[in-house]
Amino acid sequence: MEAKIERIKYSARLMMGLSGLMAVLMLIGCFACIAEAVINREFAVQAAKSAGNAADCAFYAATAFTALRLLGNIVSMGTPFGEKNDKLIKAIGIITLIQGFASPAVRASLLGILHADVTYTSNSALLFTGMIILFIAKIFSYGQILQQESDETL
Amino acid sequence: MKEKCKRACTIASVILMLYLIVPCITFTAAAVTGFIKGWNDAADEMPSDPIWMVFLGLIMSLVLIAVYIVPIVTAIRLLLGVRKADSPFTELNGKRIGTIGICFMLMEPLDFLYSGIFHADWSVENFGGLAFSAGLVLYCISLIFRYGCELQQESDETL
Repeated sequence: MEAKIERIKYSARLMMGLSGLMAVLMLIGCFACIAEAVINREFAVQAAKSAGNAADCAFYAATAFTALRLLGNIVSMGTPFGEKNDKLIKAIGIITLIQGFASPAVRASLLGILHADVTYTSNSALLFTGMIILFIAKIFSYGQILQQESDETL
Repeated sequence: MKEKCKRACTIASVILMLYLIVPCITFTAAAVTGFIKGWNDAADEMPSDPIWMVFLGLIMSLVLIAVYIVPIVTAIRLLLGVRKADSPFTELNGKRIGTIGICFMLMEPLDFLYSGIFHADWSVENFGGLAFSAGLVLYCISLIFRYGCELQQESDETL
């Protein structure tokens, strides 16, 4: 049991590094896209596309920050089934689902305002991923009950 | 809680099957037209590629298809397994998630090699890292499932 927890902690630390890097990169990407939109403000369609990319980056950054909190919880508590972890996973799932709907909507509505030829299509891969993450959150809730039982027995 | 898990599994497995079936239909149609076109082109003019290159391409294509199909099939088996079993935390489920994770980690390096060897395109853009990161996350989840399996055993023994 201890060896497994150590392996989980080790991989959680590795993932924390990756999530941190992703969060920082996405924040930089978000600001870069906003700057690009401002620079290209005279070319309205290009600026609208940049604004859509900025929204995408913001969603990815939010996901990465939530993942960072989740992984931090796992490392500090010493168990993946700690309190609030299922809620954090649920939050990641909801953010991913919203991104699947909202991000193409932002892009389509901005381009629509500019009378550009555009059709709204939701990002099916993100919607699917979001649903899988919500499913994993349910399993984590069950794991939390098992962890509580185990702690109470000891 | 177990009931909720099972219900979520049923919904996810149905969605996953649709996700597999719909591209399969379009993929099969595209593969058939592509094969017929390739066959006719090859009959019109002698192929310029050496025979070992053709065989290597065939093997790499099959490996690539396997790397994309195996995770989906394993995910369906995983979801059906969770639905049938009393608990999601079993050693077999942990291994299945690990398999999906490894396939995800292999996707981009294989794609990178394929486009490098056959299209002379060695650009880093082919290696975005998203699938690789998803594979790492899934591998971590498989470790968590194995830990959950021990907790489940403890709980069963206590009862």
